[in-house]
Amino acid sequence: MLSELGTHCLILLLPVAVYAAGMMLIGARYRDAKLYRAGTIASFAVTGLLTLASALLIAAFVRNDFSIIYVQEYSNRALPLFYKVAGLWAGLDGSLMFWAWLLSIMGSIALFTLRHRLPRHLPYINLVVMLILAFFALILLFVANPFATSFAIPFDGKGLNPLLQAPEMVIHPPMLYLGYVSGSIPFAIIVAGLLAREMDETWLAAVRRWMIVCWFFLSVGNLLGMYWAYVELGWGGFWAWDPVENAAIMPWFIATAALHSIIIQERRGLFKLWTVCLGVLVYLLTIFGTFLTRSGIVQSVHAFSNSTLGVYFACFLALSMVASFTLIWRRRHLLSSGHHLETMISKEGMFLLNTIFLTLGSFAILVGTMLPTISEWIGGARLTLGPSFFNKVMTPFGIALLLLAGFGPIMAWRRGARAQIWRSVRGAACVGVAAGVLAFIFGVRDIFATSAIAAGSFALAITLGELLRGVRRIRNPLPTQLPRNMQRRLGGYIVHLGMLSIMLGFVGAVYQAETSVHLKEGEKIAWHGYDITFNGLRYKSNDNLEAVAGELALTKGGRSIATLYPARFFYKLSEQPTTEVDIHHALTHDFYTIMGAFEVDDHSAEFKFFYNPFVSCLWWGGIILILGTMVVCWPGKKSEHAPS
Amino acid sequence: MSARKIIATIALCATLGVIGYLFSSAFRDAIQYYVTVAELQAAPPPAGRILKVGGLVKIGSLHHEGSAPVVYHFIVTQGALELPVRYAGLVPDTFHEGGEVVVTGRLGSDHEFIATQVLAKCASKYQAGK
Repeated sequence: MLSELGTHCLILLLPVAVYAAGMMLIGARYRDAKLYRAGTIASFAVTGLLTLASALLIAAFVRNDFSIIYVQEYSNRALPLFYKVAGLWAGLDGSLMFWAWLLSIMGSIALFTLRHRLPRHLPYINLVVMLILAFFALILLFVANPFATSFAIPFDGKGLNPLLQAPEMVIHPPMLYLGYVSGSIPFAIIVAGLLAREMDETWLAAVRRWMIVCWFFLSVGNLLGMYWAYVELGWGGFWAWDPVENAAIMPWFIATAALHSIIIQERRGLFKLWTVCLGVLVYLLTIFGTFLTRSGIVQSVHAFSNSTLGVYFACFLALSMVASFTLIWRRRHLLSSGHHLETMISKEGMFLLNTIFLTLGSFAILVGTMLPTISEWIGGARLTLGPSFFNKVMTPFGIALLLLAGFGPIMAWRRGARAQIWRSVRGAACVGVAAGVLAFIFGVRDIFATSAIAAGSFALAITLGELLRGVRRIRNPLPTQLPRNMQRRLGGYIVHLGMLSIMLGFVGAVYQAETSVHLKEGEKIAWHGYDITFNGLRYKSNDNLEAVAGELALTKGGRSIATLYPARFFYKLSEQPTTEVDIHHALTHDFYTIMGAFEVDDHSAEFKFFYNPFVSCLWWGGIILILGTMVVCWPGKKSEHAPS
Repeated sequence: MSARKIIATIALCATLGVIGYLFSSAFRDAIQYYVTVAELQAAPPPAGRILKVGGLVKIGSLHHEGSAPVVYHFIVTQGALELPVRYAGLVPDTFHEGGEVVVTGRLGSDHEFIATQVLAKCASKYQAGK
């Protein structure tokens, strides 16, 4: 019943989306308001259909409708309700429908909020969104129908992978999907600008606003992914340069570049072509990311695999790419800036370098990720690159970006006087050098880590200085300054502070230490300043699982610090045990413990300890970043709202 | 060409050169080759090359010894071919006899594969493909 209704929704979806796209195109061509209105109604109907289909799938999960294959695969009767709802995006077919649903909602929000500001662009924006949705409708119908049924109805489903039964795992995919999906909206606005041949300030403001939305969700999604990997996967780290992680970080890099490029276009009218290209790249990379995760084209621990889907995605990606760049080429006369960059030693120059480095970094990740596939196509051996490749290549980019985050804020627009620049940076430069020397004295001997600390401290000093100056300015504003611009600027600096904190987390990872030990009950070892005593195994069980934990007492110089219980959970419905880590968070580091195999008769167990410096900086940085974005977006006095 | 343009060109070339160098050196150290057991047994690869081998863990072949760290021994099979593997460290949750694994490491002198990383795939649950 549910499955039939759901399939019917999906069958209707494709023609309605195509109809909406057609009406938009013709309506815009002949400026026919009636056609346009019909198209708008159809596009809201698409949102309605997808909402209904998603609700039906959730209902199927909640009502344990195991006639649907997708529900069989990802749920069972004992699964808590919370995770049943998450079943909507737990697997391949459902997650594609979830993607489409989110896009339809985002598209509707964009249509609604931009209706007064960009009336002439609206049909084209809607056209692009509907075309993307038509593609998803196509694959949902023919390749990945989440409502497909089986003849035999089992009594119970196979259940959700225990590794995915974690609260972070319920929030992380929707956040990342929101990031992926919202990449389509700035793209749609950009294409609309090109098609309507109108790329004024209001248009750019809309692109910027939606790019912030995309960037924000990508940031939060990636950080949540790191957090989940850190506390759930139990290998001691948070980032492994896995293809799926790479797929999610590449659009983030380009979205960051696009935001910086947009600022230059707003202030100086430069780099118009570059901004448009970056916006298109963000979209292509979000589709590519979805493709990478969904097609099984690269080997990954957590990639879904379905090869027919890969072909569809590859065609769609190629089509999008050719269409967008052809359009850009044909509208290139609209994208010339009129004037030129006067010198690299200026704010514009720093911003340009920043976008170039981010793009190159993203390109390096792309090459590294695709190498196994490319090498196989060429017919050579199947090669792959270990994480060390990415770490080595990205480190110099990271240091360069830190330096730019320092220089960017203090540089003057157009052309700065050298003496003036020197006067603005010398204090911060001293701070940076001092921090580097101090780090070296305290044992940071890795040349890249030392440079990163020096560059980061330099950027920190400048950012804090600018923040203080900005707060003072808000109290006594200059007559020429818009309060809204100042607010944006301060928010931007707060985001930079968050990023600096995150970078410190990455530098700390260079100094991760680990050891494996086998301990008998009562045995004690000393490691990294801690004395660790194994007090024996503890047992616990409930309806769902049996847990075995090793009790570890942490002391430092005789003073008790913490008691940790790294454990192994044995789920009754799964043959696969899970490792539950336990972590002691200190100010400067985490003490991370995992229990491996244990011997009940022998009262002994295998443990792995990690000493992770500055990991908490990642999570704190993430919170600062969210706060900064809120400051940027906080509605102020509507100084930039066009009268309408 | 003005002096500034020359300086800018030199700076650009130098930057590209440095990036290229970093790229290629990182490449050389991190490259790993997927090989089959048949290839390994037919022609041993150059010493020190990092290899990846996928296959199934032979049932009954898994045993471990030592305590700090624990050393696992098992046999990876590809069809009828077998590759003995040694691995020191913790194995992932999904690792079990009969399961699918990808081991990364080097070929030891005694034709035993010395793994530095063991990736296991869970055939039934982890978002399995069809």
